Amino acid sequence: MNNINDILKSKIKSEDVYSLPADYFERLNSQLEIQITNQRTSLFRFLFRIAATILLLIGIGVIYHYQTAKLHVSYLSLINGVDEYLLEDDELFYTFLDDDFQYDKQYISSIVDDYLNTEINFQ
Amino acid sequence: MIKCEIEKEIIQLFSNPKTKIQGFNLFVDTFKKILYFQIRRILIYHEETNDVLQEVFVKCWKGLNSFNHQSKLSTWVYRVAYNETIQWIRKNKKMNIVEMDTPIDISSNDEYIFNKNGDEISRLLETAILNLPHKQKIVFQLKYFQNLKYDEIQQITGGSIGNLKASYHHAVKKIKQFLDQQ
Repeated sequence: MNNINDILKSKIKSEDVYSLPADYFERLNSQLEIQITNQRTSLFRFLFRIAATILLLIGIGVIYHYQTAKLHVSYLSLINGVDEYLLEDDELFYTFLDDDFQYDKQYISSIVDDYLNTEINFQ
Repeated sequence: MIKCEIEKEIIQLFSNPKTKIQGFNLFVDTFKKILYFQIRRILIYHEETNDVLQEVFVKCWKGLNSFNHQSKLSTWVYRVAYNETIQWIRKNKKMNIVEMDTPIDISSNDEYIFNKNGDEISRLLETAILNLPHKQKIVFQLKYFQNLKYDEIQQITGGSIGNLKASYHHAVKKIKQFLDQQ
């Protein structure tokens, strides 16, 4: 072949000789768009899963925190609270007890019951 | 050669979320044929070429935002394609074309590679290129078909400029020998 140098110098468009499917380059763009859309969807799913996991961990943390949180009650307020409770509960008892000792201390409970029955019809 | 204006337009469109797809389509239109034949001349068959080419474009889609402008966009794209092709060859070690310096015995009548209607001289030239060792093949096509300078080829393949010049020189010599024998 005498014109080898001419062939190399001419830089002929030699790609046309390759066998490839018809309309391959025309269809390539749409194929790539599908691939990219899938990539974006899978990225979104991945981010969504991470966000959901973080929210779940935060929720578990919050619930655990409230379940184990200690009540901060001072000794003084506890004593006051107990006294208040006892006073309310035994109000009638002390009312009759302190009423110039006119009632017998042994029967004070039945007196209180009688009082509740007759005065306020408490059953 | 890819014009600088087109490269700028691609980057500009791609950097705007509203025109990103439009930029990517322009990017694919600009590079699809060049990259296809760059990969095809190394992997030889269409199916393998198609797989690698799609992978290259997906990688470019992911990486184009972080393109740092240290080189031309085309040089960056050619490097991505080169790396993906080499990676594919390494993964598929069962193929006979694994070794970078091993010549391959391709016939110009192979119907899986060439179509029947193709020009005879073009087919012989492409056969000569396909039978080159990979390193020489890559350097030859980047220089001959894509008109890249040696410093640009160096950015893509690595290696010294002296070695690249030697590879190109050997490639031309072997192609001439091949064509002379026909």
